[in-house]
Amino acid sequence: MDAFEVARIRARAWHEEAAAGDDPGAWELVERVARARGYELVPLAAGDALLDSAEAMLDRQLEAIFYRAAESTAERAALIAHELGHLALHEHQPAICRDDDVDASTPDEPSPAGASRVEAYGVRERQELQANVFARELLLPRPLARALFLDRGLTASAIAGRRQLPLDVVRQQLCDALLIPAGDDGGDGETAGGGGDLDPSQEAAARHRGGALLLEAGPGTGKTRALVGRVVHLVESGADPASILALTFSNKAAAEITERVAEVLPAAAPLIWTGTFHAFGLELLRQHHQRLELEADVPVVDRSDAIELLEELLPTLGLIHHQNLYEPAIELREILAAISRAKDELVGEEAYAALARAMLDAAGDDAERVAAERALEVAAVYRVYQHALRAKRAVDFGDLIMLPVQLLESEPGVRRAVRLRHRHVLVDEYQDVNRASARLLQAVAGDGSRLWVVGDARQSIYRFRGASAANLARFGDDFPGATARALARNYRSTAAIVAACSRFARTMRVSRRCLDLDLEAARGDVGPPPDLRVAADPEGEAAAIAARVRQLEAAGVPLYRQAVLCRSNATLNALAEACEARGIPVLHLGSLFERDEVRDMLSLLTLFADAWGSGLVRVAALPAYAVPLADVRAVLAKARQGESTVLELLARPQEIEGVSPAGAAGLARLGRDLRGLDRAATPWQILATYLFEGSSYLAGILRSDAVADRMRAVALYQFLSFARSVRPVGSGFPATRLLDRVRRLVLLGEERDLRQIPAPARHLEALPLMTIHASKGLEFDAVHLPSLMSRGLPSTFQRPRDPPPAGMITRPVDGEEGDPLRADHDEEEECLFFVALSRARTHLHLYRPERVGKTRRKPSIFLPRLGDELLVVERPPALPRSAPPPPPPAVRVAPAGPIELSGWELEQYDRCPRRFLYGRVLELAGTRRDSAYYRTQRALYAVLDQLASLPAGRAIEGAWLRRRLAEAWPEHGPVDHAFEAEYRRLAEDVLDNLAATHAGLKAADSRPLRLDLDAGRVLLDPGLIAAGAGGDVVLRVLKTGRKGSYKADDLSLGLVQEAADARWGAGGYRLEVVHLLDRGLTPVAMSGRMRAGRLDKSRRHLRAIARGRFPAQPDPFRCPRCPYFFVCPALPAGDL
Amino acid sequence: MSDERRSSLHAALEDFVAAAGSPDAATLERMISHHPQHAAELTDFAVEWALQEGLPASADAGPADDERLIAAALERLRARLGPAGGRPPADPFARRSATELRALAHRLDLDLSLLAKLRHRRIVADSVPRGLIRALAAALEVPLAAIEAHLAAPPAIASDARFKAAQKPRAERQETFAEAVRRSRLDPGTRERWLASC
Repeated sequence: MDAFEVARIRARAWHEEAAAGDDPGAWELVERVARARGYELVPLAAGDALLDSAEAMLDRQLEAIFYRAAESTAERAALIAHELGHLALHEHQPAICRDDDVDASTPDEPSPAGASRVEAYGVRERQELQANVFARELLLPRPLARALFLDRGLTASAIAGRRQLPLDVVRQQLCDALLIPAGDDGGDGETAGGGGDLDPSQEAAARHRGGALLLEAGPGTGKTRALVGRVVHLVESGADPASILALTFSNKAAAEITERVAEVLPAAAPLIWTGTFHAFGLELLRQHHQRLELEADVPVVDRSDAIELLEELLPTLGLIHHQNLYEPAIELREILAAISRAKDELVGEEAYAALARAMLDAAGDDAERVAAERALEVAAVYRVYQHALRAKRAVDFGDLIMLPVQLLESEPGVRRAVRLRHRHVLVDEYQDVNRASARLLQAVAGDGSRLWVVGDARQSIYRFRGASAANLARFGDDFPGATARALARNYRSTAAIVAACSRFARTMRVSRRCLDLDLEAARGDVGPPPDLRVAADPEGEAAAIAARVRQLEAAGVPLYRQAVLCRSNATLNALAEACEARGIPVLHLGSLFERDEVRDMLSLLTLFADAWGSGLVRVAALPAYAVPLADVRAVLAKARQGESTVLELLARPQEIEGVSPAGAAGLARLGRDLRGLDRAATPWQILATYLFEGSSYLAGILRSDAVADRMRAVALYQFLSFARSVRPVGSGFPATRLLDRVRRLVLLGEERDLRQIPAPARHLEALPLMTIHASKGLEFDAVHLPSLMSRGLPSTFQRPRDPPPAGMITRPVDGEEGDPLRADHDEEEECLFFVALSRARTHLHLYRPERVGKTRRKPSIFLPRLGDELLVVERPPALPRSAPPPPPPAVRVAPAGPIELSGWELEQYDRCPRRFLYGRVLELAGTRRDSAYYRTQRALYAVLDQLASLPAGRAIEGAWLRRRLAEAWPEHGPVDHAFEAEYRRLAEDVLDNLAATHAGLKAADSRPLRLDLDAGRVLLDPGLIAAGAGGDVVLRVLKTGRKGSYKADDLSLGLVQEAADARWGAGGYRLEVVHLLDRGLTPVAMSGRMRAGRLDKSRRHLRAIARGRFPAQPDPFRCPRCPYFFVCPALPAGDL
Repeated sequence: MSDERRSSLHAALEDFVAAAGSPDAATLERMISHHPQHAAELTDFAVEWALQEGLPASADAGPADDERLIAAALERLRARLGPAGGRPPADPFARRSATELRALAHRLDLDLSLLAKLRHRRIVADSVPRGLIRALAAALEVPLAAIEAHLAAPPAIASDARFKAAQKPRAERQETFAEAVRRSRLDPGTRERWLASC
């Protein structure tokens, strides 16, 4: 049971004792609680010297709580409740609490995304969080909160009013009480590493003397137990607890160590510095901020902040290879990843530039030259980025390690001071250190004579962060005279599973650099041997997993004690769907921002973010409002006129022309549910008001016991925590900023941390599905491991687009020749397989499909390495799907003449019919940010659109294009932007490229090309129809991007060719595609068969449009870039 | 912190300076094993000493000017711990139970906030009425000088807890006895009596 749950239980007991059956207000309650413990409550005026800047003080000697006499009784009660929390929970610590300590409305844990990941997680901060949780539970226990909201139908405001509580406290408590399952989180599911005393190998490690120790801890051997044993040994041997520094790689691990030490040494535990490397780095920066010209409270920017910082500076950098007019964040993601890797290796911006220049000097061919130029561009961005960080006196995650290393290595006084303070250094999960953290450790631990690290090279699965088992291998070089030991007993798995792991371990490349894995299975030979189940295809594989899961459940292994572990998120999502389709409830959130309930909330926020409120399409479709589609279109059309925002229109829907009475009533209900909120409201205020005040949104979810509904509640909890934690940076309304951030997180793939299931939800009766990465540190009675095939596990190596410049990574790979990146990948895949195998306690089932689609897939190369003992089950039992879900209803669009589309629109339909519906049919504005890049792009298109109307015989001249740009710019361009001139230059460069690629051509036939297909007409705009010097016809299709590996096989090109054949005859013209960023020219030479295919497809699309078929076509790359990402695939009922 | 404890800290720091040419972990550990009750102060001192050593030497002092370094480190440590010489007086309130202290407050016509402020030295010593000092000494059964010395020491830092760097302990604000009386919850009559005696 974790400390937060202890806090809750104790708070509830105190509440029940004080409430004694009646229903006191908050103030009366805390007075009773204090009185029962003989404590006096003493109010002090603001500025009183006893408190000074503090809010409250718990004086144990006087048995009094001195507190600032806040304005409202509610706030005073919350303050006292917080101090009572310290009284109840932290007997060894004095409690003087400042403003930022006391906030009973803060969530238990910081949201796992963004900069809050490194925010202080020391003992003191945790104690303040625990006191806040205690306060909330004392004032309004969760069962009471739930009963008041659900059974008595009270809103958050009504509860706050009746019980004299701060509204935010009530809202946060409702969040906890309603959305996450109550009860103990049951620990993290890891074997405690043996009960009772330490085993001999743990004991020997804990008592190690004489130089640095590297403790190799195989899976399930009690690594944390040994580490805690070491701390206890040090303290019992007389070490000052404050001299002990315990470094981890996750807040979760730090919290676990803190709490386990506190169980044994309650007085010493708070004095031990336990936290992540990054938190420790931040601590050093704060302590020595003046030397580094930083503020004491140095802001930490995350990847999303960094994108925001850089996005608009990009045009000033003259990038060529990383220029992306459409989605600059994509390029920045790659560049920032490269910068982050550089910082992992302690390579600063100048050193990076020098390496890149050396690459260019040594480049022997075009590919090498391009790679070097790309590296130089990264170097340029790196320089600008560091400059921007310095200007803001901010740091990023990489700096949290790199700057302290530079400080400690360059300032002997500081280095000695840090070593004097932290005289005993312990490190958990040492295999996860990268070069920078290893150097930090060297700087802090000196010769390592008091260094004790534990890790398992075979579980090194964070290579993308620069972690490498090579650092573990280097331990002896970094700390000469170091000793290596290994833990000897596995407490987790059966002998058969331990044997399988050991057999595989012997074949792992990383094993050459560590001790042999020679584990005794403490549980003995008590379970079946692992097996491999072979299915025909992925669907059969899912059916086999489902069948085995149910068999094991029937045999007494509950669903939550089993797990499906996948290498990729794509497999995970597919298997989650497949299990649900077979009636197996799953514990899997998937991508948070793609979940229905979270998109409902995101759509709600768009009503506050932009005047056009495109999210109405989704919100109005909710059953509580049921606004017909035609009415929604009418509201949106009215909002587009610009006089009122959608939010304003909700207050007076009856005034909108064409809205039906039923629609007006639904819109009015929505307006009422959002009453009191305006666009200045924070996302948390909007969402908490909507969920806990006006709407009935939660009712359906909360009254259901179905696991899927519980997961919906958990997803809402995660999203609300996230919305609360987002800091108010950037410009625009608070909701706009949040939506921008969500979009960036999704684009950057940084929303993965939000997929974590909160600990209390892990015990729902459902099957956990997770990636192997996420399973690290967990264990399950049964593990199901799918996709053991080629390109499954191990996965295919993909070289990063901006790999480290040559010479940046200097790590020994056992003297092997070859590509260190590929070697790292191959090692990591082995480690992932090893981690997956070793999660299993009793049942280990491996699966593989024989083919995927039409392609046969070979068995994974890892399988033979498990030895001949692996049982193979051909065609295992399978559980069929229940009936497939019904297809989505069609939307009938009242015909206004025959369908007439542009080729571009037809391509939109081809890529995603739903997007076509939103954009073309409903004319939704979309929710994409109107960045300077988009505005530049719009100005460019305004010029390109005029090309078709150039009079015949007119040359395509740069001067003419620039004049058109000058006309378009004031309306479309990023006028008044700080870098307007740079954007303008960028646009002019593109137009210069256009002029250059059309030199010698003259505008010709300006009649539009069109093609009549059975269900409609397609208007084809090739961009430009020109005539060459010899009068030959040249059709040019213009694109603003880069040529890259473009193949000229677009759907509309087939139609253009067909139409051009009809006008000029086959061979009577030339059709070419021009990419304007790099002047790339691609002739179109589509085969007859391919063209026929394009025509066929176009006909099918036109017929589908006529029948109202607009299904969503999810795509992991395109969806996050779609302007309708937040609303898709919702649609109100009805026709247009 | 008792007199005895303070003076033993002074002795511990002197031992440290005598034992080490410059601060090192082994000497620090040895000193802590001799003076375990001063582990925190000895560590802070060693850290300050090391930091001072790392600073560039000023024009008028050589880099190896140990005395200067130690003096600077001591100065910084004193700024945190209390009065010059590191010998703050005993806490006359220590080891008294809540019941005793409350009874004392009642007897002396103080409320809890006034008593707490006297104990935590949040009141300017010179502003405390002599009569109250005498009464406190009598009630706590300590010499008059002990109360005077306690009150004259700088205000205690906010907490004995080991704050993280972002929340470095700092000297707290003081107020006069009259201000403290005005802010108290004493009844008007008692309050007037005290104010008249200030």
